[in-house]
Amino acid sequence: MKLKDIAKLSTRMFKTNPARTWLTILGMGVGIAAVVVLVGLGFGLQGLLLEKIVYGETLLSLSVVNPPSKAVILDAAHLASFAKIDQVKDVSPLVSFPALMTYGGLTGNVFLQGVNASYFRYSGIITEEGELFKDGEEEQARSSVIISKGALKLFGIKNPSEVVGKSVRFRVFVPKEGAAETEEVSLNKDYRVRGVTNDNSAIIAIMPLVEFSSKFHIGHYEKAQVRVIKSEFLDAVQAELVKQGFMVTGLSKTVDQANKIFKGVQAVLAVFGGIALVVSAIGMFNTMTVTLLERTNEIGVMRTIGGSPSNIKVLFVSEAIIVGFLGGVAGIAIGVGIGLLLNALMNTVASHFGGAAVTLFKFPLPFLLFIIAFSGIVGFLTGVFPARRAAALNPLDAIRYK
Amino acid sequence: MKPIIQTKELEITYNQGKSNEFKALKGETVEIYPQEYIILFGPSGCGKSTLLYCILGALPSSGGEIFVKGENIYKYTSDQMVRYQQSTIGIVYQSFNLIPSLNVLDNVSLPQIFAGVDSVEREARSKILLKRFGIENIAHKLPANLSGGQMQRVAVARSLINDPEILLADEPVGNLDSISAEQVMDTFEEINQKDKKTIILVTHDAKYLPYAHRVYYVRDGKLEREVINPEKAQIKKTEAGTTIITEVEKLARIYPYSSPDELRVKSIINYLTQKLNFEQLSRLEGVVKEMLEGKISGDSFLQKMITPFAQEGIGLTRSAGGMMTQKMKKMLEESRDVMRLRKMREANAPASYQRAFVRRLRAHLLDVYTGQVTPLQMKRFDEIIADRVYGITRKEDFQALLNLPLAKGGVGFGARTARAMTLYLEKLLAQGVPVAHEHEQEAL
Repeated sequence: MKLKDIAKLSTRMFKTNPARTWLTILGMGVGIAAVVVLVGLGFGLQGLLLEKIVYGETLLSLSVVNPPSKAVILDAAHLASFAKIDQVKDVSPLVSFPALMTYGGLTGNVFLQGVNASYFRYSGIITEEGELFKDGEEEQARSSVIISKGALKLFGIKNPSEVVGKSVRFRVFVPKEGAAETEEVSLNKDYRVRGVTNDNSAIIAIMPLVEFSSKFHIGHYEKAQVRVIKSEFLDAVQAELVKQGFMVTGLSKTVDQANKIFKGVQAVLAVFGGIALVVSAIGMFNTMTVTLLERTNEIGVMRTIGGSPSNIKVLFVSEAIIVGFLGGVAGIAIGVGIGLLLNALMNTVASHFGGAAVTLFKFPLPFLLFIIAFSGIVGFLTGVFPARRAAALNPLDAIRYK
Repeated sequence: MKPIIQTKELEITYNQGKSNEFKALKGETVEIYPQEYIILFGPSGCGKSTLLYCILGALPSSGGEIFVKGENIYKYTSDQMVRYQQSTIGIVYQSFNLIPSLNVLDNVSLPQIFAGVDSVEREARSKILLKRFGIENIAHKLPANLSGGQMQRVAVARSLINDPEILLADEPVGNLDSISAEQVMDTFEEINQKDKKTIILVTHDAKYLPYAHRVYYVRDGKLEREVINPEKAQIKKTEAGTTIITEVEKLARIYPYSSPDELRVKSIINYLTQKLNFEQLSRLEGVVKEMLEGKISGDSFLQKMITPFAQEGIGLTRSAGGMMTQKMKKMLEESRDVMRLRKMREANAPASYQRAFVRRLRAHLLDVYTGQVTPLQMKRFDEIIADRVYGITRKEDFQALLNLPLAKGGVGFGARTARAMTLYLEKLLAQGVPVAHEHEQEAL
């Protein structure tokens, strides 16, 4: 039998029994839709957490901090040794002193930090308003600072755009070498606010490292971002740094763990959706069995005019796959429709109450393709047993069946 | 010449080993030759269809073998069997068995769809067949919109699409009206004659037997006998002296349900009681039927009676034929008085009108009586004629009353007269009174 003829013969049910065929497809569709909506919710939740993380270089970086024991301390020599490790591409340090920041007549406690532009990329810091330092332009940006959203709260500013371009002043508590005491140094300079980061919790102001080091002697660094060449080297480099006595965390690990948790969440949601799917698959199986009984006579006739058992089997199975496949398409249409509708609804509500827009349901393309393939397989499974029975019927008994 | 189909001691047992075990075929040996037209004839449940489906390869044997074109089809693998059913055998069913969801064109080309034939090629072939059977105008209709005759012609076209050598037909006209049935039977004849296909047809209707070269009579799972059609040139070679066609073979076609012994009895009775032989009788039946239906006049009736037998007539002498014609005309005319009298009674016509027709009937009966009849006899006679025609008395009462002496309330005729008159009135009644089921049909 030719493929074209198989397609023609196995789509007859749309003509002979359109209502039942479409209802079966709808039944499958509802089951699939349940899976799509629930798993889509899982993807959405995962996205909500992880979309804040800037991927790319962030995942290739390790965060190195001083151990609590202070047995080793990040200093210029250590940084140089990190940079010498083969698999390390770059090292970008962060220095941090407590300081008082004055803005618009108010003064508050912040941490004044100094970094190079690459640090932002390695640690995944992004702005909500304004801009960060650019690579190689730190010199021109010497008299500008970037402050965190958390710091704005300190000054009671709700809208980050209010402060961009405004001036702030600092008084810095410089730690004395080898002692716990600090010395208060006033920076007699106005710094223009260049950008505001989206970090809500930290209260910090960041200036270019060149400016920082021109003002203060830097004995040790607070933190360093170590960028490795490839993700495969993350573990090796981490082990190397840990061996030197530092505490090292990698964002990629965190992301991995979060992803694992969400895989679990998705699996749980998929099980609930799967129950709906099983119910509709049983319905479809039932329909295929009824179809078999209805067509018993026809099967007998086909067998006696030259149709082989495998011809009969192929016709039944392909009919079931078509119904399953269309059920998958219908399910995706329904499921994605519901998800997008809820997204739109939530966003309308959120913007009405001044909250940020969120995407609660997400439907990645590979997932949808998988669902279509999966529904075809479910169709196949519901069709294969009736098909086998049909093929095994004795043609004469089948013809006499009324 | 070698047979195209040969069964050897073929046995089929349904539900073998169960309490409802049933032997449908009890060791059949059949030989069918290429291009033969064979009819398997017998009452329903006799096993004739079972034999047909064995040849189709759809029934596993419980014993014995079938050879088709020299190959034992029971030794076929599943694939070989499919190919055999695709290319060697075509089948036509009583209930047409078209696929309701496919149009006529697709139904006809379905066997080729299974065989994987290209759509252009198979549709061209289907259209040729549809055109041949005069149904090309319905090619795109669904079976539900066709008449029975059209459906069966579609089924015949389907059976021929793969150009098989053998065509099987299971009661192919059992569900058709007589005109469609005749068309379909003629189609089979043509397929046998022109296309040189071997045809095996199952039927329980004796009127189709003349189509076949040979008829196998099947009863209770056994081949009772094989009857050769004397009107067809035989394909199966018979050596001179081994097969002789006797009157019993001819009688078998007139009385298909009788056993050979019963046919021999009929042959003797015919010899003892009738001047005409069976062929003359069957021709005479045909002519009388035409006369009764009013299709021919009395003159052409007479003409047929005296036309020599060799010229398709009945071959009576002029005097014998003339006498029969006259008798028949007289009887048919007089029987109308019975009809009129009954109608008057049904319509409650005045008694005097009814009496007039009773008197006429009495006159017809007295035509053959030479004696004198007294007024009292006539009065009594009229009464009992009326009672019999109205259905109040039975034939036996009528005869007894005719024979009963006047003193005892009868008419007082002699026994022979009474019997002759009763016989004649009964003949008139037979012609003049519609029988029960005719009444029903009129009511419908």
